[in-house]
Amino acid sequence: MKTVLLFDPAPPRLRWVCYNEGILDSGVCDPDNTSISSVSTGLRDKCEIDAVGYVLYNGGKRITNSGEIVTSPVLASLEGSIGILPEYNELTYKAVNNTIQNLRSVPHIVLCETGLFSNMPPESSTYAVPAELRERELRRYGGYGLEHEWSLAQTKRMVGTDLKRIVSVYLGGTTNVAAILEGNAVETSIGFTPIEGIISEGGCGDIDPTVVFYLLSSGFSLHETNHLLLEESGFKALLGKSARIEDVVGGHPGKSYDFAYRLYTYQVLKSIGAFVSVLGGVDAIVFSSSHTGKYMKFMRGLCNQLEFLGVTCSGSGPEKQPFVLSSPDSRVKVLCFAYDRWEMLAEKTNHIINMKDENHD
Amino acid sequence: MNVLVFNCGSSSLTYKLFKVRSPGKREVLLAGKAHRVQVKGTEPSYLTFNFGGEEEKKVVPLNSHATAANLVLDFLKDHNLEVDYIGHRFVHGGGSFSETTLVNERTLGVLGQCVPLAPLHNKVALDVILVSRKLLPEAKHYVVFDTAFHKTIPSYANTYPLPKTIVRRFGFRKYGFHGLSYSYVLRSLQDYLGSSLENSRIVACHLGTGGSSVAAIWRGHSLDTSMGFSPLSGLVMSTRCGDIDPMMATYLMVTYGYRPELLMELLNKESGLLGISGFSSDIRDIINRYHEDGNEETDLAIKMYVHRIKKFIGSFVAALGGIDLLVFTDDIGLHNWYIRQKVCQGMDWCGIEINEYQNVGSSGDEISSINSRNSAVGVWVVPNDEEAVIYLEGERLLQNENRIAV
Repeated sequence: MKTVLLFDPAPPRLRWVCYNEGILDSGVCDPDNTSISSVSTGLRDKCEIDAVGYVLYNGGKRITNSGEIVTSPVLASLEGSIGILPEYNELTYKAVNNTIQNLRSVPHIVLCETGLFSNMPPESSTYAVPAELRERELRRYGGYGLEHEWSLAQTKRMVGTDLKRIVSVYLGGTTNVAAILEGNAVETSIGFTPIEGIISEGGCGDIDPTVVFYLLSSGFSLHETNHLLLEESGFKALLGKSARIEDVVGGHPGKSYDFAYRLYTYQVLKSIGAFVSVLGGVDAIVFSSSHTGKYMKFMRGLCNQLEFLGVTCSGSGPEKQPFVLSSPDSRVKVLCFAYDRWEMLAEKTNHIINMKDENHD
Repeated sequence: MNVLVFNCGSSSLTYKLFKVRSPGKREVLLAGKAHRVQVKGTEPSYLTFNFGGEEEKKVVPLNSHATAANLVLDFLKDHNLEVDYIGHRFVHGGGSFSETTLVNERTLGVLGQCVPLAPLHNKVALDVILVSRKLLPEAKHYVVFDTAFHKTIPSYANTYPLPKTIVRRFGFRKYGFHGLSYSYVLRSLQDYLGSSLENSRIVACHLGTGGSSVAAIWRGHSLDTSMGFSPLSGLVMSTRCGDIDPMMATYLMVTYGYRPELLMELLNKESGLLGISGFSSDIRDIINRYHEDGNEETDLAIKMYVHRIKKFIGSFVAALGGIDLLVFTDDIGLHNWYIRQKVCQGMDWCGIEINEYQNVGSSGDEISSINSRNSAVGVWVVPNDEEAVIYLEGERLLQNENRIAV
């Protein structure tokens, strides 16, 4: 593995990590000040940077690969995609633009969370709205593509072959479900923004769009409406206080926690059903999370509800990584992978530079 | 005893006068429909009367549903037709009404409060109630709600996770619609099969020329449905967008300066099949055009329409833990074999398999089964009749009343 410097936007700043088989150094920096000397005094002495990776949360219609080496046209595309998710994308753009001038000799890679979904079939990616609105960059972009790709690679490594139809479930503060047909994403629960789809810590998930207009016509400002749907809804609204999803699935006692758990499980269950339908059946259901231990009860509960699909659960408790939740004779495999975000990003960056080197040889 | 039924659509008013000989035995004395009510256009509005085996068509300006109702009531008076009960359809009963209710001063007030929930439908229905009460003060009026059928949806399926104060203030939650259609279809299929549907896991698709929805039905009750707080969400409809990212609206307003009123209009009236195809809101036109020249927009419109139905069927099969019966109803569901075929394609993962000949051969005018012999799931085409449900609801209300009186 080569040593990589990774940037991940966390508005209003960026988290960074220097990684090689583990975290060598880490911190938080301003987007305008990403030179090596300023993100970490002394980093230069500890390690030589071989490449830099930057997370881009929404590549819009311009950045359509999950890993892309920065060139002038890519930098221009990156700038052009700021508007689709300004708060985050501007940080990514600034970090690339500044770092590239300080580290001219190494490759810079944009790691795009929506890349996996940029080739979804049009019936999945299009909203049924007039052309006038569709032309405003309105489409379903999906999210957590890097996580799903990682999870699919693990599945292949474990099963030893490509499975045709996979439903991949990323479990985190925002949950995302994706339908994968022969390695390609064909559906996903996140749409134009991560608010569409499943309930999240502060986000409402799928609701009737009429609600938004009711709020606006009752005197709520655009800013207040956005804030309400993004920050004040979801588990926070159900529980009456800020909560991590790990608390909801982790068996926290209390009526409102039970209800939140029930609602969340139901939404994930429906999403899996919808995507099995889109795929015309399913060969594996794959979960990934950085807190798999907390989700054990949740995943087992879901498996029991998916018996009609041919899922048979193994009775035993959590075993060593990665977990196989289905029994050996289950028609549908159910797997669960624990992942580490920085490791995943470092692997992806390495993978892209290796491919580049191979192409050069 | 005579029962008159008024069924207000957004631009139509369907009515039927039933004569009841004895409980369960009824005949239709008079029926008809007001067309193009409140519609501004080149073609005139008109009202039909089917009476005594003859059809009369009256071309007349109909600038409101109340005007149309007035003309129907005049016709009754002119022909000495008496009315004992009048049943009205009310689309959105909100949280206030979960079952068929007699109209009195108090309920009128609450109905008034429900108008903003479905401004288009509820307002005209209320106007019709008011004018009928004025002209027929002796008759008893009752209201039937489209939302009532879905009152059994459990809270984990009907809750929008929005702040509690907001939910309380606006009544935001999933209500669901097409309840009259679903309950008629269930009743009708149960009678036809002669056995209870208590233990059947049912997914029903109401595919109309205007609105469409899917419902998951368990133990004869609604468990979930695709429409939500309003009839805007869920499937791709003729001019309604169905499910979209709720953040889309604020994005368009912030970034491109759209006014909310205009956006609401675009999402309700210019979206769906019309928005994608660019030329028609009618799936039948779109299918025809696609077969003529196979252009990209018509192809996409059909694919999106079918794709969204399949997604909902899949999610409801998961919610039900499997499926025993799949039911198609309303105009498109009854009369469009092509859409039924597309929807059922590749659904053997949950046991759905149709027989192509039976599917194409189904007239849609009577109950028919279209599944193949090997299909684990029964696939049915079942005609709906909203006016009959409004009547039957009245009959039930009446029986309950009498029981109480005894």
